[in-house]
Amino acid sequence: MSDFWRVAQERIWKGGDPLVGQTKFTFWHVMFFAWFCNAAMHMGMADMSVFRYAKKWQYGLSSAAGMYVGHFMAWIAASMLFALQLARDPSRTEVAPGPMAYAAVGIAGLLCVIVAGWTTANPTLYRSGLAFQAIFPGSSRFAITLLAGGIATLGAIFPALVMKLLGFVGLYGTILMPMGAIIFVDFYLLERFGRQSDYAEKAGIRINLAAGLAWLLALALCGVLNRAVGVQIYFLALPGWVIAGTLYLVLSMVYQKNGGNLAASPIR
Amino acid sequence: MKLVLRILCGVALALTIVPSCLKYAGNVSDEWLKALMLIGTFVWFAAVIPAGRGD
Repeated sequence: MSDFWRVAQERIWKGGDPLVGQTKFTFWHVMFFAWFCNAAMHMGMADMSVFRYAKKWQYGLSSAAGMYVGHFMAWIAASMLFALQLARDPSRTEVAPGPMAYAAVGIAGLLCVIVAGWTTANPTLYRSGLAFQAIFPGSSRFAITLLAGGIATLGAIFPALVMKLLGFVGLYGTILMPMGAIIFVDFYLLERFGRQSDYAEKAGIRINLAAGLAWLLALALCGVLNRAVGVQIYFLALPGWVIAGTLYLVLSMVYQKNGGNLAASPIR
Repeated sequence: MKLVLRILCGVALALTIVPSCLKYAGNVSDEWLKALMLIGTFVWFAAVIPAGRGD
């Protein structure tokens, strides 16, 4: 075991160019993915759809533990499996988790991949069921969740789609993440700054312009950071979250100035 | 009973980690590695569900 570090440097993490069409990942990519891979769920507060069943507030910490430890472990394991595949056959550059895990540790690896995919998909499928039900009230949550799962499974069959997963995860994380910042600021900060939280509900209005503008402007600024400054999409979640939160706070200060619409509307 | 199940979980987890270290050191064959890890995986799932029940 003493020469593991040498073998790791020479056979596993030996650097070099990425595969054609793929981004070269550095330590920073892995670190950002470890924290922000599921930005839409954790930073975007989509986790709350599941955490509403939590019996203790500390259960929220499982997101941090899962993200940090789990994703780092996943990256380390994935790189080892891929290095093993290349060592056995350098022409095999496809990244298919199931066959790679099966080749390394047999049926146990295959079971782990299936269970990992299933447990990861479950909360997201539940969320999608809730979302569809909100769009189509009166529909069966069971049937609509099953339908969403069926569509996702169908999509997963096509490698061309699955190979774009990292970019897709970065994109939808960036799109949904600002809402998490808005919820955070609304819940924890607005009243400290003398403004109303849950403003739209209390004012009886359908759209909170401060929230809508903060979301769109944050996305636009993320777009500028991506296109003009060249910040890769994987790194946008953190600055985007801060931008969205700050914008919502500032816009709410203006939008709700002196009570805003609340002065003329019943506050419940 | 729960204590036994939790110890069993620990042993099962060890069965999914230790064999790969032994394989790296050249002390176990591919067949044994895969068999031990499969046993560890099954025992972990069989023990962890009742061990966590009621928490």
